[in-house]
Amino acid sequence: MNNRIKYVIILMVAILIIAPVLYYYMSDNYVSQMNINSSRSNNYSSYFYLNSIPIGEVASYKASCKNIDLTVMMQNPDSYKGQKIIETGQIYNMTINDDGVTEMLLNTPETTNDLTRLFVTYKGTTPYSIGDNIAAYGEEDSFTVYNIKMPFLKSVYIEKT
Amino acid sequence: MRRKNVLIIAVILILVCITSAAAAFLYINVTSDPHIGNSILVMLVDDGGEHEPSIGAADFEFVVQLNNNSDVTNLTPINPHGLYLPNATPAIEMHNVGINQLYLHDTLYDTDLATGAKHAQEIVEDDKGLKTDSVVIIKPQAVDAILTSIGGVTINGTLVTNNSISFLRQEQSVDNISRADAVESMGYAIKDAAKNSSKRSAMIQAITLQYAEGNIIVIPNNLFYKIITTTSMNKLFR
Repeated sequence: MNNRIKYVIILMVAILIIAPVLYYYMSDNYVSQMNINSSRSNNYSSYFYLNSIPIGEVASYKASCKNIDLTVMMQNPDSYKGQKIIETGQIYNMTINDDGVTEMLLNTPETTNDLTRLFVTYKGTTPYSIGDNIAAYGEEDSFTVYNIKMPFLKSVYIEKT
Repeated sequence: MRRKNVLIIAVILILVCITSAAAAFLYINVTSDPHIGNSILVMLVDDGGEHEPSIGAADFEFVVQLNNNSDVTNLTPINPHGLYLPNATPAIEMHNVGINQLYLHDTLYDTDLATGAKHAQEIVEDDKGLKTDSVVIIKPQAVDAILTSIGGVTINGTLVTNNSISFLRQEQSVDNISRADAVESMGYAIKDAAKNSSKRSAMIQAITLQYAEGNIIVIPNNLFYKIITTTSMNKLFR
């Protein structure tokens, strides 16, 4: 047999063996499911926080925030979504998640019961602890648990008051 | 010239060896995992409205136990009501609504799915003594697509073709049937429908599509292909 024909046959056999493996790893299903799982996981956790702002931008950011009465926000949390707000209060409970995000419940001046504590998140750790009075600056958003929709604050800067 | 030919053959042989090894590894990995056949925790979640943002509240669970031949040996329904993980705390915002324990119902809220699924497995093991190897999370869209693929099922005289969540809620509130019984009746109706081989193949096609769309999530996520490529799926619906 001509040498060139031999090489062509060997090459075809090699392609036949390689192709299914490559196809499996490059197939839409394989790739899309990997992406779905990782993006879902990230979406659920990243929904709750924003990146903190650089020190140089703090003054202008603070100036752009306004205080909104928590009880007013609770009536329609979605209508304040994305607005820059400042909320003050005493840290009632606090936790630092495995991913380094700080989450706290704040007793605000409007707090009268469990439902009227403000949920505040911060991407990173803070030097503050339970009982401290703070001012949190950030954007309003909402979450729902047990069909109850509530406002929360994705803070980008927190200071002691 | 001769040396060049030898070199080409050597390169091709090396490529063939590498590819064969990869194919063998893949085959072994896909078909012979001992964990496939043992025990799977299936979590049915709601449409996401109860907990947002979230894949959904875990409204109902059941454990599917298989023997080494992938035959279903036991199916245990689990009502999540009141089941919680004693040593864990829920997401802090749950405290606002008076929830101070990590309930099975809430395991998939405000967490990555792998962690949530692990918590769910721990709760089921602690409370029911059922150790599971993997978790399958099913959204209502997937159940609806499966029902549509087989032309619906008749449950207690009602033809259910989609909107499974509404039907289950109606069974509980109007017909006063427990959640466990409502889900179980739908599960068995689907299983019965799948005895028809053409419906079974349509159903498996729908399941594969729903998995690709993210409405069925399997943890660990490479297990889906293992289940599909073994006989488990066929036997489950027989």
